[in-house]
Amino acid sequence: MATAKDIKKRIRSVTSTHKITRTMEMVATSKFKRAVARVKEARPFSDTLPSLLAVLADDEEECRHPLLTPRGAVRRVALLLLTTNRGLCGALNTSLIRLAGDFVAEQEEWGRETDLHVVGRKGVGFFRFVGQETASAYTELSDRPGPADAQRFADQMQAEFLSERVDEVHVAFPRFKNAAEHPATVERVLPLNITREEEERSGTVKHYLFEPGPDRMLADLLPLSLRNIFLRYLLEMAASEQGARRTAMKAATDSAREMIDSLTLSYNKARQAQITTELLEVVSGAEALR
Amino acid sequence: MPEPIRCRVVTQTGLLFEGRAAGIRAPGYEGGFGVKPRHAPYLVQLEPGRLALLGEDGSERFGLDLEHGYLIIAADECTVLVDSLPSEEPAG
Repeated sequence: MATAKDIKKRIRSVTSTHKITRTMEMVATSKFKRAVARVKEARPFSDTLPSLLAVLADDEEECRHPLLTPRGAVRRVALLLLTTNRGLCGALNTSLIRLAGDFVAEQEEWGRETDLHVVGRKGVGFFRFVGQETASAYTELSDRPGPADAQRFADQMQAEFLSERVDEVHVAFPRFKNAAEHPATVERVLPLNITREEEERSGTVKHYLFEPGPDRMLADLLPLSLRNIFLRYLLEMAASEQGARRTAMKAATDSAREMIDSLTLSYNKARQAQITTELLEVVSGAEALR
Repeated sequence: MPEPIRCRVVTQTGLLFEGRAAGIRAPGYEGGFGVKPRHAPYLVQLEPGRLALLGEDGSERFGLDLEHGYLIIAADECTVLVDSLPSEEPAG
């Protein structure tokens, strides 16, 4: 049985862990709030772009642009997997990596090869550890991704698609809902899709005047749309990471608190037992001397 | 007097302006142009130049030098998407 001294040592260690996780929880909470604000601030732009594309699509009988054109036979696809640079964020990276694995297996079943592009140290480290080759690895993404980062990935994926190296581009990312909910999701990015729903959402007004013509504007607007889609993924990723870390650190803090309470109880019991034993020894000694 | 135009100016990272304007001056693809209330639905690519949202007296309520963007107006609602600002690309 552990002595009071051993238990006290343990309490001191858990208290120190509790302080660390509590601090990390507070840091993550602050970063999470800022990341969520950035997701919200980016919405007016990303909500308007689809309606612009829908207006252009409405005007054109058939939208012809390489970024919109599906390939006849899909033989090779690219998957951009977004993971975090740092750990301690629960099952966020595990679920993303598992989803990517499932995606690759599914594509294989359909007779397609997958080029895996991995972003984030956690993902890159995992694939290096299991010895699986990746088409590209990027670990320099900051905690606060911006339009320049989105442009980097958009340009890279656009080049892969337009050069016909791949026939489709997909992205695996956590879809941010709230601090605790960010399901791993795979979305097809290229070829881009202008859906009927977006066209309807664009309103009832038709017959726009365009400057320049719709064809030219579409050619200019589609790359911007692609960049904005990637920016949304990166912002959702950052918010999900901080949310997951906050949740994980809160759980760790709560567990440490419970452990401290339980250890304190054990310590008090052990101390009481020690005092009782010592008292008994003193009393028995006194009795023996009488 | 017609109702002013409801305007929003947004970049990829946030809302720069939201409010009403009696008129808009902007650098279009084929040159500068103006927009007044009850303008026909119009979608235009913006070139480097100054975007100005005007008050009732013709003074500038909001102004911005931009590099590239889009302006869409329909039913007296105008949205300006600012893609990039001078010396900063893309906008943020």
